[in-house]
Amino acid sequence: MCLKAANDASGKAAGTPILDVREQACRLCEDFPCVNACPTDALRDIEKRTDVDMGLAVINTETCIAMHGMRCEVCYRVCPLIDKAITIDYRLREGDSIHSIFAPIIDEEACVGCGLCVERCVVSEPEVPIKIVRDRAQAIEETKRQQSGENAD
Amino acid sequence: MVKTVLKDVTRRDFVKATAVAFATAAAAGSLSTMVSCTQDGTSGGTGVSKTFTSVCRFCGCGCGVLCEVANGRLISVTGDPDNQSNKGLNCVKGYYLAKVLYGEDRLTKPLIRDEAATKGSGTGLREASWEEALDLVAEKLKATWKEDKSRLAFWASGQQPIVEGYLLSKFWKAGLLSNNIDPNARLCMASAVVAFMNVFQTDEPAGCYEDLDHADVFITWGANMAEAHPMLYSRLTARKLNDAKVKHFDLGTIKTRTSASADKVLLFKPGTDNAIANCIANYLVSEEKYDAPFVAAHCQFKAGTEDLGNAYEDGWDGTDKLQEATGNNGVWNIEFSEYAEMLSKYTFEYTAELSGCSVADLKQLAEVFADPNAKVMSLWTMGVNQHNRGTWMNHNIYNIHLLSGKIAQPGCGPFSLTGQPTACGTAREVGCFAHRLPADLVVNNPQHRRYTEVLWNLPEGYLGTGDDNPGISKPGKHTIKIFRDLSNGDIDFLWSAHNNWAGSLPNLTRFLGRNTTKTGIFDAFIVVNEVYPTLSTDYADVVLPAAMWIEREGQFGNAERRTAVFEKAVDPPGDAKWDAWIMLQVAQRVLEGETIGTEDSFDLLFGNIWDKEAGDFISDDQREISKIVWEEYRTFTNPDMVKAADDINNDVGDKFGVTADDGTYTPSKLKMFAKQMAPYDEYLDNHGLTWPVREVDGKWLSTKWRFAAGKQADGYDEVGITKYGQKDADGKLISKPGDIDLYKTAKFKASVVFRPYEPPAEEPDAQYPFWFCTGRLLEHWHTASMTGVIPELTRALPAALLDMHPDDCAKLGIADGDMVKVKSRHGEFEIKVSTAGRTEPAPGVVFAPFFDMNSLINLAVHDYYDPLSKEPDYKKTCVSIEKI
Ligand code: SF4
Ligand code: SF4
Ligand code: SF4
Repeated sequence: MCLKAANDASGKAAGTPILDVREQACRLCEDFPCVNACPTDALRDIEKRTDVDMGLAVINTETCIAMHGMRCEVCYRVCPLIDKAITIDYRLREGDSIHSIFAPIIDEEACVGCGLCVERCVVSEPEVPIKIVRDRAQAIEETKRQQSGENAD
Repeated sequence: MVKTVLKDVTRRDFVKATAVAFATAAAAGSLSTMVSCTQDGTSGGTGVSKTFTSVCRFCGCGCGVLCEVANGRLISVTGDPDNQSNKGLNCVKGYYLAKVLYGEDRLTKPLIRDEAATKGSGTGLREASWEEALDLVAEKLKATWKEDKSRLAFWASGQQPIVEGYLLSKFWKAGLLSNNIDPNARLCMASAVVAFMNVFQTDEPAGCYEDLDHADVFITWGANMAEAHPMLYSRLTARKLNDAKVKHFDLGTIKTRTSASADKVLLFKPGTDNAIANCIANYLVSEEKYDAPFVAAHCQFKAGTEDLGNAYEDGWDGTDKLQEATGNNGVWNIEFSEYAEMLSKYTFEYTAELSGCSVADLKQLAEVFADPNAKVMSLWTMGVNQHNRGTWMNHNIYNIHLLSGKIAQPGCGPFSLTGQPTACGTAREVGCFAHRLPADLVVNNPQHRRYTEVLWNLPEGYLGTGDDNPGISKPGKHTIKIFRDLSNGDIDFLWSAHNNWAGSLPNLTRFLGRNTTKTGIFDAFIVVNEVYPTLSTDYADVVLPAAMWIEREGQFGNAERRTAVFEKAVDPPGDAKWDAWIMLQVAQRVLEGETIGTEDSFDLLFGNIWDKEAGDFISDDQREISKIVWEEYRTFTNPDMVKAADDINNDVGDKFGVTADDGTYTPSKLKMFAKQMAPYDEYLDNHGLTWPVREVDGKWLSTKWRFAAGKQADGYDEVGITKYGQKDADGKLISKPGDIDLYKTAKFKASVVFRPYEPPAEEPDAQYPFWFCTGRLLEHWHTASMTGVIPELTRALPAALLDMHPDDCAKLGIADGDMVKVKSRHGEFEIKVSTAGRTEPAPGVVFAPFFDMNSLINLAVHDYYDPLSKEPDYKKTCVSIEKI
């Protein structure tokens, strides 16, 4: 199972199901065994994948290597909602007429926050460039900031 | 927009930016490894780092990289900003390349298996000294050689550096007089090679990677370039972004990440690509939209043996039909009108019906070739080559480019991509094939053998003169023949290097002796040179630990005819050794007491680099050894360096030509300069050069576009055309800048050979209703024997998935993530299903990558091969799928 019980350090009530997506993301199983297994109805109202809402992925454009022209896009290719939740924005690489940047872009409507992109991202240091922000409004805000380049340097 | 784009960066800034500012693991990850490893006291270096130029170890894109070494360890690998092809960029495999040397279970000691019964069990190997291991290998090889040399074989590789491949080829062909040597490139490039030889009488493409920057239309034929050629695809994409008018047609049997960015996707029924290409040709010819002056000047028309059947039986190669198809009478001349007649069946309607593509889509594609102004680039690899009629499909692509005159011009031409880093440079160029000698020469041609004898200092006739003295005049066993024979108990000694046959071959159920009576693998003596444990080492009787990548000096030759040197930057771990050293150690032992003419065999062949007394190379400097070997190999393509060779090249003495009935003699000229290579240092100084490399005013210059008239300094084939090109009655060159001259062909004409559609070897039926297609994905290289040790890549793609169409899943009651059993007539495996859509097969087609040794998909893949190239079709096995 993807979920594990929260411990005291997590700030959640002990035992609340949580996901450490870097270790094991939600697999967006078609039949949602976690929902059926849940004794308390804490996980509910999920019938299909697009009902899931665990947050929104946000990409750090500084540390994501694809943004610098490396052909990575691992997050994109593993996304269970590929071409919907993550798409590729093909851009010319500045100062280099023969290469393009394959920039992964999160769709704020389609992404359900399953975290598989975070689990599989190839970069760890200084941080994983892709993360799940549980609060959608905050996530959208952060993405905007990233794209306008505000947090660069 | 991204703010941190690197503008006009200097090399230093760039390395700093990639290694430090990204603060990422390619550099930093191994940097921390370095810290922990240098603290163990194994090195007392100064901490000053040194940078070496190199080439990526993995794919055929051949990206340049810089390797930073400190205290004897590789601490970072970054893209080489001075490399004109990748300009400092890499895919994620290249990005983490530094870690490939430092995986946990590197092989550092020779290993011997005492009990053959333990093969395949994961145990049974014990450590041994080099002395013991080499003696054992040499004893077994010599015994088999003396007894029956048809029962020995070497399986070589398109990942084996050029110097190593050349020495191997010389040892096997001249030392052992055996043609039982074939590379893993048989599994990927053989169909391309046969077509190149048939059409142009010379191997490898006319164009280069720069064509990607100039084309107006790209057509990918069964090639997932976005994943298998990541940096070249970045280049293709950039061309489209630079000019909105540029279009990309993607043709295939599954939708891939390449389709995702194409402008038009044509999904066709497996195997019908030959019909589609003929349909385009039919349109051009019947509507008179071909380039008539080009065709008149540069094309001749032919037809060939048809209705060839498939390799269901082991003896197929020997059937009358195959003997005819592969013999001198397999192809004959026809008139253009006959060609038109043969094509006439391939109407849009017929082809649409057969292929499943719409008439409108086919018309749109055909129009591309009818537009005289469009620069069209066709790109293909495994979809076309791993095909039961793969040679034919290569022909058919050339046919439409020749009919439309779209060839050998910047941005315009058919371009056969290679998957491996040196499939061209080694497997193809130095003669590691069962039928080849160095530099495109073949064993069954007397003039080619004689030329080789001269350059290898062999007595006249040593390589064979005919039936009484066959020598190596008959081609040896091709790859599938080797492994079919092995499984039948007809091979006693097998040696492999730089490949993992136990994972990459098709029909592994048979070849690994599972669920079958064909268990020869347990009886044969198997030697594997390797860097990490693989499935192949698990079947080896002796494992020889090899230096990998930059642990020795090496040379790769990529798909655009570019030869590049990678410098030795670090020492191999433990007792691991350079493959060239391993081979010569064995050669010295096996050839002991053998003579060629009156000379000692070993000294005659390798005395220039090896000191028998010392049992080692004459120098510790691998650069020096590599140079000596390169200079020897280079004489093959620079015949003027050896007068006797040049005489054979020019057929002085009228020995190899044809005498007509009226007594006139037409000499046979080899035109060996057509493949001219430069002195070794030039490759280092220039970060690689594309052959033919020409000396003009004391400078060695690449040829970017072979057969294209123009200035050598601009990358055109000026020197080649001047030397061998077509001349008028006054001896003046016919071609003008902008023209082409196909000077390697006998009559300056490429062969347009009519090649029909014939069905795949298997077609779905009630029992096996799905087509199973296999391939490679971006994160892993081949069987992941190297990328599998890089934690970041394993994290990114830990296991293979079977991509299926959701409708097929619904029918079978399979959900995304379910485990299924995939079963064919040949074997079965278990795998998890995905409907996420990384690749989107059409209904009735399923896809899985072959990197994952846990699912081992090749257990179920058939080993039926193309009749002309002997390359197996990995794309069309019929399977059933069942939920477990
Ligand atoms: S969290 Fe990541 S993997 Fe999951 S839906 Fe969103 S983008 Fe896709
Ligand atoms: S996997 Fe990580 S580094 Fe790669 S493209 Fe996605 S976010 Fe960027
Ligand atoms: S694997 Fe291929 S594309 Fe990736 S860095 Fe290496 S050579 Fe370049």
